[in-house]
Amino acid sequence: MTWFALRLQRLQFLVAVAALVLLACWLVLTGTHDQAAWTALVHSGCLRTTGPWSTRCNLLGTRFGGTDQWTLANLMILYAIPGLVGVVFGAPLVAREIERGTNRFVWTQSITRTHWLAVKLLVGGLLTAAITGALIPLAEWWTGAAQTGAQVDPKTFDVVGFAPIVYGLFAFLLGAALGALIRRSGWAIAVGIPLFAGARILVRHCRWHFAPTTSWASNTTGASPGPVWPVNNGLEYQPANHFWALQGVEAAIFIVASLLLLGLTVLAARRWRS
Amino acid sequence: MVEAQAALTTSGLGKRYGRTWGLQDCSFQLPKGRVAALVGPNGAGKSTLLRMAAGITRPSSGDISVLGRSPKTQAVDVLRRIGYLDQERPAYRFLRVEEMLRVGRSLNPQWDQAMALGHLANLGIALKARVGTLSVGQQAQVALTLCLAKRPELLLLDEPLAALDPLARSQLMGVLLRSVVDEGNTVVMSSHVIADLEAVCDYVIILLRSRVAIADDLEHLLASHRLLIGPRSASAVTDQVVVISRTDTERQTNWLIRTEMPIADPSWEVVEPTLEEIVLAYLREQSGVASLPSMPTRPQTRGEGGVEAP
Repeated sequence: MTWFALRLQRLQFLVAVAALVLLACWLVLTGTHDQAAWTALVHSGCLRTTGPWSTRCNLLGTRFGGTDQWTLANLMILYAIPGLVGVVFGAPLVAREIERGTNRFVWTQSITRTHWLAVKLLVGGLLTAAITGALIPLAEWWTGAAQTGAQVDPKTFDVVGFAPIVYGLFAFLLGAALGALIRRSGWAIAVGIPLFAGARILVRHCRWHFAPTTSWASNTTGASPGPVWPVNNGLEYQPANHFWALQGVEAAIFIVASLLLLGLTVLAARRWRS
Repeated sequence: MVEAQAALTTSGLGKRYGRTWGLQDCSFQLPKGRVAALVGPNGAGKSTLLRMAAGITRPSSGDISVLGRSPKTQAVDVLRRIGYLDQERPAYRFLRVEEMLRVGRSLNPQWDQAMALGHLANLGIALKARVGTLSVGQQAQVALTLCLAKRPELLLLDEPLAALDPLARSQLMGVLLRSVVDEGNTVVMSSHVIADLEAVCDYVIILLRSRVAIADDLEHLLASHRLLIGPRSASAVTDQVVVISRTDTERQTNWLIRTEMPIADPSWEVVEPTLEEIVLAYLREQSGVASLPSMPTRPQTRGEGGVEAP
């Protein structure tokens, strides 16, 4: 059954790998450029000048500032990939079989439906984790090169640590559950992607409560806390060392939601009769 | 250990789809070793019955027992003993034939790879071919091969001959019959092509309006039905007979009746009907067009009948 499940997802996986390789090339290209622009700006000493910038400084500044346009686009791509890969891998898992009627073939072989579903979910989940996991080191290098900010800052937070894998698995199970309920892969994808985006935006919005914040007012020593994530209209901040705690809480939320979706998928697939 | 004599037993079996019943109050017992024809009009519940036997669909009411086991509580036990061929012959079209064999081998403990390879070689189906590129007949053969290589005790075949040309049809029946002879499997096969079934089956289940009209030995079915041909004025109605259908032509009237008694009335010419005639009579009766002369002539090959075509 493992071989079979892998075989059914092979094409999808290879397409995702190819897309990942293309993305990696693009990120390395832009990242190297960003890095060079940043290094040049830092080494020029322009950042330490207090007066108006010289033409050279302006040039270097514009060069680094100009990277913003694709930095934002790249971030969007990195935010989107776990959701896209997960939902697209998950939605057809049960739905495509029902659409094509092949469920009636596989359900009449000598294994139970639960066994069938378990192997498919496991294989699909591992493939999703592999794709989103491969993204992380790439994203960590790129966010550093492109100076997207502190890891605890949401801009970077969502694409580093273990968050992308958790998002990917959540999206995968969301897709699988919707596919099992709606029984149409197209619709499951169409519904799954906005739902995934909604869940991500919601949690992202609440995230700053997930660990105790520090108030700027309480920082009486005047020493810089280093790169932080300003929250609550800039009155407070999440220090950099809360990164893993915040990732942990966020992961826990998505894992609990994923387990609920898993249960829903199993129930829907077991109940479904044709 | 369950050692049931019956291959398939249903009692009060029913399946409801929303407000309508796909199958209702279905009770019969199919002994092992039989080749049963499952006939009935579209929507009579043939597929529903086969799917419930295969454990794909759960009954809404009543019980079904497959080889003495429950498809619900002994799912794997039932699944490894049956071979189910779906009406639509769903296929993973982008998989190669050899990959489908690998799937079958990995999902079924009693898989007979040699048998599968032998069948496909005999039929000239290339192992490297993708299932979707095969002809309809070859796809049906691959699907049947996947069923047979499970070495099932009970074959549940839903319209295995539909959409096949005559050659493919006869090849498929050939493969099936060889398996029945060699392995002694029980077969339940639904079809619209009654003539194809008559040659191979020895048991008949007729479903009408979601109910079982007949579940009987073919021999007994043929022996207990009579076709009466007589003048239009004649009536076949007596206490001993059940009238199944009546068709009138200009000069004569044909009655298909069920009776255990010989017909003594000399005004009738009494003929043993074919399976097709019996099935058609039941179908016609249920569709409410009994009076239409839809079968005005008798086949000319009949020895005992002296009926001429009008």
